[in-house]
Amino acid sequence: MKKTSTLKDYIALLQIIKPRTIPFVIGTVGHGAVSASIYIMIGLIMKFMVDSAVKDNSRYLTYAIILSLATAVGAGILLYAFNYLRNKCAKHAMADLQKKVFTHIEHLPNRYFEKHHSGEVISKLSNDIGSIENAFTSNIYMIVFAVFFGMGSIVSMFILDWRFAVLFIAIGALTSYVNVFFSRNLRKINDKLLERLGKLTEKTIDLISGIVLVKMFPIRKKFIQQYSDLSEDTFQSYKDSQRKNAGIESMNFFINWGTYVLTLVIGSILFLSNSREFGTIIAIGQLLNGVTFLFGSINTFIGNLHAPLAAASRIKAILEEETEHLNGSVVVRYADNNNECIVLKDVSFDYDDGTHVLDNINMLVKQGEIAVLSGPSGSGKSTIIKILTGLVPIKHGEVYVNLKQFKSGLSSETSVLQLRNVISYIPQNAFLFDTTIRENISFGRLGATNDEIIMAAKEAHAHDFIMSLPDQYDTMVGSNGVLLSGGQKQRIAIARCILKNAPIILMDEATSSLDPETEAVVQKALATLIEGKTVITITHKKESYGAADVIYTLANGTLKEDRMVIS
Amino acid sequence: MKKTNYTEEGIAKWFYNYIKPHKIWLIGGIALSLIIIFVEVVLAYYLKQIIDLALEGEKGLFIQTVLYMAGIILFSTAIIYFNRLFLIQFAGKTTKDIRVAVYSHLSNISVKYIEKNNGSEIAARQNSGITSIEAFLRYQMPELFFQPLRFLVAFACMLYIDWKLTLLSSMLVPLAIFLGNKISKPYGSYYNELNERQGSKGRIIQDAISGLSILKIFNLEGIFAQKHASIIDQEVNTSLKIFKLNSLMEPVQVVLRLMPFVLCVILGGYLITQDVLTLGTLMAFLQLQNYIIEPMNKIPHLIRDVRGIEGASSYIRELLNETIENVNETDSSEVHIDSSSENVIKFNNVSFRYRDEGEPVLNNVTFDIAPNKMYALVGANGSGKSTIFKLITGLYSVSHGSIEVFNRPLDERNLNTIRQHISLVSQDSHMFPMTVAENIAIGLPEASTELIRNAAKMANAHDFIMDLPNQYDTIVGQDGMNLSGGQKQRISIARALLKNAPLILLDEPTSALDKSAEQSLQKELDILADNRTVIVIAHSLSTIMKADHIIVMNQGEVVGIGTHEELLDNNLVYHQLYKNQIASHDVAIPGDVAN
Ligand SMILES: Nc1ncnc2c1ncn2[C@@H]1O[C@H](COP(=O)(O)OP(=O)(O)OP(=O)(O)O)[C@@H](O)[C@H]1O
Ligand SMILES: Nc1ncnc2c1ncn2[C@@H]1O[C@H](COP(=O)(O)OP(=O)(O)OP(=O)(O)O)[C@@H](O)[C@H]1O
Ligand SMILES: [Mg+2]
Ligand SMILES: [Mg+2]
Repeated sequence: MKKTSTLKDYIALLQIIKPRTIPFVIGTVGHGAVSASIYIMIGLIMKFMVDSAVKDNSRYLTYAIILSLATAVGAGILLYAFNYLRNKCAKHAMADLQKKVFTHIEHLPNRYFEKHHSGEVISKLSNDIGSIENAFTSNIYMIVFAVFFGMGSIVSMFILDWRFAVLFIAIGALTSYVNVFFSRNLRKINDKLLERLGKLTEKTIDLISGIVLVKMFPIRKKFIQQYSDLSEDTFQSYKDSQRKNAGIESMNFFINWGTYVLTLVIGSILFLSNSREFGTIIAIGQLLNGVTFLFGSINTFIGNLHAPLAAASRIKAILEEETEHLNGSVVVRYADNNNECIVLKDVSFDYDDGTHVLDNINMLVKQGEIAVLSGPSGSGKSTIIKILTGLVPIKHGEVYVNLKQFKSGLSSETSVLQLRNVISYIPQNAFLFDTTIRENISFGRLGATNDEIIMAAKEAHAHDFIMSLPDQYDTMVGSNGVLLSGGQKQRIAIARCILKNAPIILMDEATSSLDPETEAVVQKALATLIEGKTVITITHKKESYGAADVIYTLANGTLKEDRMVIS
Repeated sequence: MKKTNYTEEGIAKWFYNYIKPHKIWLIGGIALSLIIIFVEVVLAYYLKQIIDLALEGEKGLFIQTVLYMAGIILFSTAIIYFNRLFLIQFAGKTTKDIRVAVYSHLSNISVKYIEKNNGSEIAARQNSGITSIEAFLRYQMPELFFQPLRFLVAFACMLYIDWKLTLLSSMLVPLAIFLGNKISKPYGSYYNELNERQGSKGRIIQDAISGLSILKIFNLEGIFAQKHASIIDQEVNTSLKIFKLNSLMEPVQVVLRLMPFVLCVILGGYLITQDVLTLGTLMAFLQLQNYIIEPMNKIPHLIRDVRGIEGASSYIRELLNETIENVNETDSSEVHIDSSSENVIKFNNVSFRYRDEGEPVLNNVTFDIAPNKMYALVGANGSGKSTIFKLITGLYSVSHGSIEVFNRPLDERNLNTIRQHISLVSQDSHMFPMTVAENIAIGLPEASTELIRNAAKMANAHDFIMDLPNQYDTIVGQDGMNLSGGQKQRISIARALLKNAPLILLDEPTSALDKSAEQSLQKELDILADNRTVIVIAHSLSTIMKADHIIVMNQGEVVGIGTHEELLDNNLVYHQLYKNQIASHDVAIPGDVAN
């Protein structure tokens, strides 16, 4: 965790607005300038007024009135426009940033999420983005405003009496140091706060996704205790960061009033020696607000930037996370004359945490063959599928997928994305997205017609139960399909795979949750589906071995091949 | 879900509940604010003094007054610091309470609510709602008290100085209230919309992450990016509406800031030329005027912010209003499991549906479960097997018929007490992102390492756990992503065995296990069933045949109860279900022998 923000962080933050720099700058500068000029106008109006009183001259009074009316009308319109413009730019920039982060997340390797909880990501995309947005809608504007207000006041002061101007610039510069003192460590504190907020979201997600366990096992108290402790820590972080602000705010009060009184004292001395017009002193007193505001607050506002700066660099860190290698360890080749479809050669594999899974395994599935992959639980069957689909990269060995040139226009060696285009997959745990049944099936092939979706559902023996649901194909399945029964979920996953109809089919315990009767029907349907396709199917059931051309048994990291003799 | 229409009093009452324990900080903060107001008035008075003294050339008094002022400024600097500290304490503590209240409410809320609403959506909306509440408590809530007070005090002082000028400068207060009220009307619904969007974002991010493999293998990156983008675009739309209103407030602010000033300049200038007013008095007056101009300027904002927080917090308030589970706290009776009693569970004409429309999921289900026996619950997918478990454990409650568990109607009991005596292995094995040992230990938090290992051994999990990089201390990852399907299932069995309850419910406990793991688990269950009641939902014949009794379900109805042989002989549904397996099974089929 960094103690302070570096120039790089500022650049990272400012780059977010980049494509909209011009309108944003116009909006911010315009808004700041106009707002500041109102205050400066008030100072001038005051001068005219006092002068008119002291000098008994009503001409000044007229000046004052005209100036106020002009300010009110002009500023009103301009403020509306500028304020909207700068906020709009900021919002659009935030929208782009979020879209960018989301797309990036989609392309991160699965591995990333073994270390980063979804709650952390969700929290970052809410709290951090909110914080950055705050920088553009508020903090940066306030800095600009302070600069204008301060500069405008200083310039006006110079015009009125340069000696005052010099004096207050000096005082102002001095106060900056006071503020710097208070904003130390602010960055570190904010980092901690944001991290804890992320943890809170994680805990809430854990509670909800494991709610049945929480209800059925004696852990509620412990969970609530943990959450309560974490909330307490969060409160402490919050307090730390706010306490800094409190210090800065009270110091600014001191500086504001202190300098105000000082002006009057000095001004009075000057007045007593009759060298100045009193109206000028009053005006300077008013203008002084601007100068003290500049020096007193700019540090507050810059201090407030630490949270967005921390947020921006956290977001940047996600964006810099390395995405999946598209030219991964699987080599895809298009070759009509090669009938070896899936080849694993001397493949060894360990997970990042050191789990040793595969030891120099060799595997060969020819075009149109059905391979059964079996072996005890935890032997690495699903891992082989992850390797074949390019979800995990291998460090030792080679994997080839040779395809018949089924589509023209594809290069002879191609990326993981194209590999996935030719693979259909039924996962071990039927994962469903939180949307309708129809859409879940349609994810098999985007753009499939309704009839095709229904056909796929029928083949997966899912159509009947879908039609018995109140909203039929438009039934929402809930988070990961909780609103369906286990076997129903699995059949939706099968329908999704059937709809894709790709030349290579990978099935990981595809029918494990089906009842025997349904299983028999679905197996029959799958048998027709996979005709002519290259298939790897993982199963514990000996009954499914019948149709296999080759049986691979995985145990203790080694693979045993058992090729059927075709009679 | 009942949609409540919150009134201002409603929300005030709601907040008051959470504020109450920490109101001392708020009161302290406001008390200090009052001092600050007072100090401001005094400072304004001294300002007048200084100017008048300077004009009169009274050197001695002048210096004295300046020194007084310096003292007061120092004093109030400290006051301001403490004022902020108090308010931070107030906002932080109250927020913490609300946070924990929401969390513990969620832990007690019905499973129905949780299943209907996406968990990450809930978490994201909760996070954003609470962030808004915290900001409101820290900044706007004290302002709600501070600004009116400040206005009144300044108003009174100014009345004292010059009532004409005072009335003139506060003339715009009704206008400020009127405009603020008018402009901010839609804020509540806008902020509620924004909160909703945060929820949708949470949901889609969660889906993308937990379905990442599917997302990639099916090349769904594009479509999910689109879905996400459309949520963001909606969010932008709502925000722009808010910005438009906010921008509209800007000219109003200018008018509110300048008008009193201009009016006083005109009248004050005139009064001075008429020698009715001294310049010093007018200056003091103008200084004081800031204290009514500022509150006046803040009125529209405060109205807006109250509307905003109504919207931003409405989700949290609804959530906390959501009925919690029927945990009958008054029932303190112990659960007696005596083996002589006839039934552990009794279903009496139970009908049940999840949704209000459509066919019921369970239809007039009646059966008894005798103690210390092993039951198998079989039937086609979607016939209602898992639903029966959800009813026994009180996760859902029935509307028709009655369920007795441990000899007392379920709805009379404290669900927590009942659940203490049930071990459940759900159909999908859920893991918390903790270590393997902790995941098992949730069955019995005080369990020793020894007990945890024993349970793991019984579930056939010990060996693979010892092969993991950090053995029992290996972190399993969110939803157990670092484990294989069968490993997760065995851990969730170990956890249920560790709990060691007299009633064990297993929902397809071996679906991801290989034959040998399945067989060793069956052996364990056989031993357990000697002095426990076991109900197992299963599709595989080898598990079912071990049971003392088999309950056959079909489309929400119990269509037969008996042993494997009995059912094969006379139960069509059962026969139909297993005819394929029986053909390939090496066990002799009595029906066939008879033929
Ligand atoms: N993401 C991961 N990080 C670390 N280790 C993992 C990860 N995924 C799986 N493993 C480990 O790798 C080994 C092989 O897992 P895999 O999922 O391939 O087994 P499997 O043969 O499919 O088993 P099952 O039949 O139970 O599904 C297991 O020991 C498992 O704990
Ligand atoms: N939370 C829920 N909300 C709405 N409907 C549900 C919910 N859970 C299950 N259902 C529906 O209730 C019916 C019975 O589901 P249940 O999970 O009890 O089946 P099951 O017998 O366990 O099936 P399986 O063998 O596939 O697990 C199904 O039609 C299912 O779609
Ligand atoms: Mg597996
Ligand atoms: Mg089920």
